[in-house]
Amino acid sequence: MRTPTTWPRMRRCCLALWLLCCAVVAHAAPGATQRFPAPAGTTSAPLRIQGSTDLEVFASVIADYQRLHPHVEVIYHDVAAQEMQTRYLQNPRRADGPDLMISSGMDLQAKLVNDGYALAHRSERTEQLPDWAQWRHEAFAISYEPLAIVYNTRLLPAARVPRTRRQLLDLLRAPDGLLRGRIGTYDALRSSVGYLAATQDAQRGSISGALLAALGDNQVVLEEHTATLLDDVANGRLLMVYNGLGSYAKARAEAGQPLGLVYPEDYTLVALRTALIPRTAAQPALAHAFLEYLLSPRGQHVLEREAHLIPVMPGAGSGGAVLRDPSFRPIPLGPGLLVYLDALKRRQFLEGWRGSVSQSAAP
Amino acid sequence: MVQRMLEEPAPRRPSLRRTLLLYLGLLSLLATAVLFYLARDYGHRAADRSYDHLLVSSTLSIVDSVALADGQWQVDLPYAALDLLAMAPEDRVFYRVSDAKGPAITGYADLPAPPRLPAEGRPLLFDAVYSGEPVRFAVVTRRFSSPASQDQVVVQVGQTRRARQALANDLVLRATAAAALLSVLSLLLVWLGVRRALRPLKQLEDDLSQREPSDLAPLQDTAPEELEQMVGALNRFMSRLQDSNDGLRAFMAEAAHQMRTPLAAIRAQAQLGVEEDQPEEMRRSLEAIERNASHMSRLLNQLLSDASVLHRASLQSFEPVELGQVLRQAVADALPPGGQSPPLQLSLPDTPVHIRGDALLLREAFKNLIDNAVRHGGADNPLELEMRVFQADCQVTLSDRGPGIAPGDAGRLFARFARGAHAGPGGAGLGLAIVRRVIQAHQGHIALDNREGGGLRVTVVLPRMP
Repeated sequence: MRTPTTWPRMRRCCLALWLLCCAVVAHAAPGATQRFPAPAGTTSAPLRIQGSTDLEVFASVIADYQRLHPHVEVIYHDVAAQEMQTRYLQNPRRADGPDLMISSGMDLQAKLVNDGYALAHRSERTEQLPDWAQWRHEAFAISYEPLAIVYNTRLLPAARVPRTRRQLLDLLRAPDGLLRGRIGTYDALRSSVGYLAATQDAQRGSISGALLAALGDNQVVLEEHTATLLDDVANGRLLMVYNGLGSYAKARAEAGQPLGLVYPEDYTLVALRTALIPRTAAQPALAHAFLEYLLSPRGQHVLEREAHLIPVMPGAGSGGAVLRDPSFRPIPLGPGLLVYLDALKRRQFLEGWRGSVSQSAAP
Repeated sequence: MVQRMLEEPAPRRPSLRRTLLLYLGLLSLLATAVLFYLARDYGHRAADRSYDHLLVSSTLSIVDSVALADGQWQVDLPYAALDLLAMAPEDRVFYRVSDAKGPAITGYADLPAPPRLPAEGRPLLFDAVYSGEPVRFAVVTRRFSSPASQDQVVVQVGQTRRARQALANDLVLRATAAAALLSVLSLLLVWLGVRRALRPLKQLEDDLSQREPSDLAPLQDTAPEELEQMVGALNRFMSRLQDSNDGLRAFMAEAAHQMRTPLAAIRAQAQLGVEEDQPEEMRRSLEAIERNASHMSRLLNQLLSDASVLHRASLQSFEPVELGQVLRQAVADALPPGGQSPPLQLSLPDTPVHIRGDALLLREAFKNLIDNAVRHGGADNPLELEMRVFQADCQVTLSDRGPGIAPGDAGRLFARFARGAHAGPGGAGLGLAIVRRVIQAHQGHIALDNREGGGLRVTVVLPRMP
C-alpha cells in the first residue's frame, strides 16, 4: 500500500540550499548560460553542455565534476528540450554547438539518434544500463522521472487521495466537484514532457480518453512547467497535479512543503532524462568523460543528493527501488518514440487532446 | 662449429603420416572455406527473411492507417508500426508516406527511391544506403479511389542492418565453428588411424632389429595386405642370403679339406726328406714337395679367381660386348703364339655379335674352357671353336678329341672341387664351376656332352642384345 511518501529528517539540512534554488527555478527563464571556469586553470577548450535541467540544479553536478577534473572549463546552457533540438537541427555545425545534450525530452533525443546525429559511446558502465535505458549506445538515460499525482496534504483528506487512475476518474466525477478548477496538468502543446506523458497515456491506458474528458470537464489548469503547478498546489490554489514530475515534488516535500505524492498503482509512467553526444561535438573526448562521470557511482550519487534526481544505474540509490516496483513502466528508448513526433500524427493527436481537455471548458 | 652443425637442418625424409595429414588438412581447410561462404550467403538470406517479415508488417500497418478524406491524405501512424521494429533494438528506422504522383505526405522526404513501384499487395524489398548506413527498405502501394480521382499512396519503411548483420554473423560463426571443429576432429581421427595403420611397420622394425645376425628365418606373416609384397620380398631376400651363406660355408669347408691333402703330403715328404741320408732321395722328396706346393698354389689361385668372379658377377656392371672379339682374345690368351698348342679351327660369323655382359669375365670363362680342352684333348688333336647366331641368342661350341666325360658326370662336373674321371694332376676342380657361374650371371647356360667319335663338346648359349 503506497502512502504519501515521507522523507527522512536527516536529509532536510542539505535540502535547505535546494529550496533556495527552487525559489529561483520557479522564476528563472530557460535560456540562461553560465560559465564554470576551471578551478585549476583551463588547459583546453571548454566543454559545452546543453541541458533542459535547470541551471541551479545542475550547477552542483558540474561543481562536483570539476572537483575531479579541475582543468576542465564547463559552459552550461539551460534550454528547453524542444528548443534544444530545434536549435541544433537549424545548424548542427555552429561553433558554439553543444558537446553534450542532456534532455528530459527522450523522444526528441531518440529522434536525433535515429537521424544519425549522435556519437556512440561504449564503456563498462553503459553495458550495465538496462536495455530500455540506452539506445544504440548513443543515447543514455542518466536519471528517472516518474510522473506522479501530487496533492496538497493539508487540503485533500487522506481518504479521498486516489491511488489509481480509476480512483482519480471517480474523484473527478464526484458529485461534490471537489477538483473542479483545482486540478492541473502539463500543457501537452507547450511542454515536451507533457506531450510525451499525454501520448504515452493515450497509448497505454484504456481509460485515458475518459480521464482526459473528465479533466476537461473539471476545467483543468494547463501549465508549461511543473514548478508552476507545484507552487500552486503548495499554496493551495490547486488541490492536485496529474502527471507531475516526481523528482521535483519529492524534493519540495522533503523541504517541508505540504505536498504528497502518489505513484498510480495501475501504472506509473517513468520518463528518462537522457544524454547524448552529438556527432558535431567539438570536444567529444570531454563529453565522453563527463558522460562516464554522470553514470559513475559518484556522479549518480551527486545526481540524487544534490540535484534530487533518481539515479538510473542499477544499485545506485533509489533507482533500484523504482526498477523493482512492477507498476513503474519506464518508457523505452527506441524507435517507437518517433511515432508521435511525426508531424501529421502530432497535429492529429494534439487536436484530439485539445478537444478533450477543453471540450467543456467553456460553459 | 657445433652451433653451425646444429643449425644445419637435417634433410626431411618423406613421411606417410605427414603426407596424409597435409592432404587431409588441405581438404578440410577447403571444406571449411566453402562452408564459410555457403554459411555467409545462407546467414545473410536467413537474417533478411526473419527481419523482412517485421519490416513488411510495419509497412502494411502504416498503409492501413492512410485515409483519403476530402482529397486530403490523412496518416495516423500506428504506434506499433515503429515500435514493432524495436525488435531489432540497435537499429534506426525511417519511413515515408507519399503520393505516387507528388511529394511526401509525412516522414523522411529524402529517402532513396525504390528501383520501381511495386504492384499493390506485393511488397518490394531493397537495400540502399541512407544516413550513412546500409538500410533495408520495404515498399508497398495502395490505390484509393474517390469520386473525383484515383490516387496511389506509397509507403516506404527502412531499417538499418545491424540486427540482421548480427544474426547473420552469429549464424556464420556457428556454422564455421562447427565446420572447423569437425575438421579438427577428422584430422585427429586420421592421425590416430594412420598411427594404428603404421603399427605393423613398427612391429616389423622391432622384429628385425631384435634378431640375431644369423637369424634369417622368414618374418611372421602378420603384416597388413599393403605390406605383403614388401614382407615377401624381404623374406625372399633373406632366403637367398641364407642360401648364399650356406654355399659359402660349404665352400670354406671344402676348400679347407682340399688344402689339407697337399699339405699333409708336403709334411710327409718333408719328414721323409729329413730322415733320408741319401742326397738323391732327399732331392726326390724336395721335388715331391715342390709338386704339391705348386698344386696348392694353383688351387689357391683358382679359389681367388672364383672369389673375384663371384664378386664381379654380383656387381653386374654389364655393358654391350662384341662376343667375337672376346672369343679371339680368349684364344690368344689361352694359346699363346709360338707355344706348344694344338691346332684350332675357329669359325665365327662375319658380322659382330653383341651381348650384354662383362668382357673380362667372359674372356676368363672362355679361356678356362680352352685351357680345359687343351689339357684334356692332348697337344696334337685339333680343337674346334664355333659360334652360331640365332634370333634371340648365340651359341658357342668348343669341341676337343679328348677322352670326354663319364656318363653321369655331365651335371656334377660344374660343382666346385668336382673332378672328372679322366682329370690329370694339377686341376683343383674349380674351373667349370667358375665358368658356369659367369655364364649364369649372363643369363646363359652351359652344357657338356660327348662327341661322336670321341671327345668332349661344351655348348654355351648366351642371350643377344635386343
